[in-house]
Amino acid sequence: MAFDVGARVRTREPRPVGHTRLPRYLARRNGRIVRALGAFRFADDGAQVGPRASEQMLYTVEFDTGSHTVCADLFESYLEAEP
Amino acid sequence: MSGHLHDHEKSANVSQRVKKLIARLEERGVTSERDIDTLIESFLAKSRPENGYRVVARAWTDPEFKARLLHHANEAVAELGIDLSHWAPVRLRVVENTNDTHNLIVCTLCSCYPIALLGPSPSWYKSEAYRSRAVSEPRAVLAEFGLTLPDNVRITVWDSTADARYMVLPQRPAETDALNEDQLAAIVTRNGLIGTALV
Repeated sequence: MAFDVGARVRTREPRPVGHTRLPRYLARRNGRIVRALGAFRFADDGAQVGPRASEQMLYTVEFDTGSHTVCADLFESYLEAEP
Repeated sequence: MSGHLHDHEKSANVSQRVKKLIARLEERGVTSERDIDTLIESFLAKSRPENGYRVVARAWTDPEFKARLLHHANEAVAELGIDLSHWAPVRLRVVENTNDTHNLIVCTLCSCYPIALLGPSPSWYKSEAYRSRAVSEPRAVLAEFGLTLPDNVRITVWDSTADARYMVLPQRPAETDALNEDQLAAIVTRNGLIGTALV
């Protein structure tokens, strides 16, 4: 699903094996979409042997840690709407 | 010591794999080690921190350029003849320091860095200590760089996890009204563009 800027999201669990661009410290965290960067080749699949990886929407997601803010660029499939 | 040996073994393993890969590509006539070296050298020759300094000096002196830079950075730096379209399409984002926000750049997964604008990254940027602590305790990390920010300044850490690269637009220092664009470019520092220092 696509997300609008401002949408509240929750990150999923990273893939247990293989390459991922979802850092472990940002797993299962609530955040907010601050920018839609466009469609980029999905890095997790691109790192595997096989057919060319398809594209996915990439978003800048903002996380409030309490003491500071962390922003990271996360692929759509790492995210779900905040429950 | 064991950590150092471990890192050394890891990189030795990677360089062996790269050598094998290049040998295969040469066998198939896809590319050669010399072509790859030429490509890397031509890219690095154009990649200097002075590029970033020029971008900042222009943003400090031209508000319309600054507005374009903060919203469409690739197009804005292209106006200064800086081409970001090497290897892969990289999306540049410039983040502005203000009186109440300070920005810090990191790549926790590896060492992504806007090389075209800042030149090759310093070794500390690639260290596990910087990469892990920048996102967990940025205020303490900045203090170790000699930068103590007022409590009311909010820190935003940009983790370069995917296809975007980040550069900080530092605040223009006070009492620099008399400086022209070239003189302003000369006072900008690499750490100022990473966010581990003010300018």
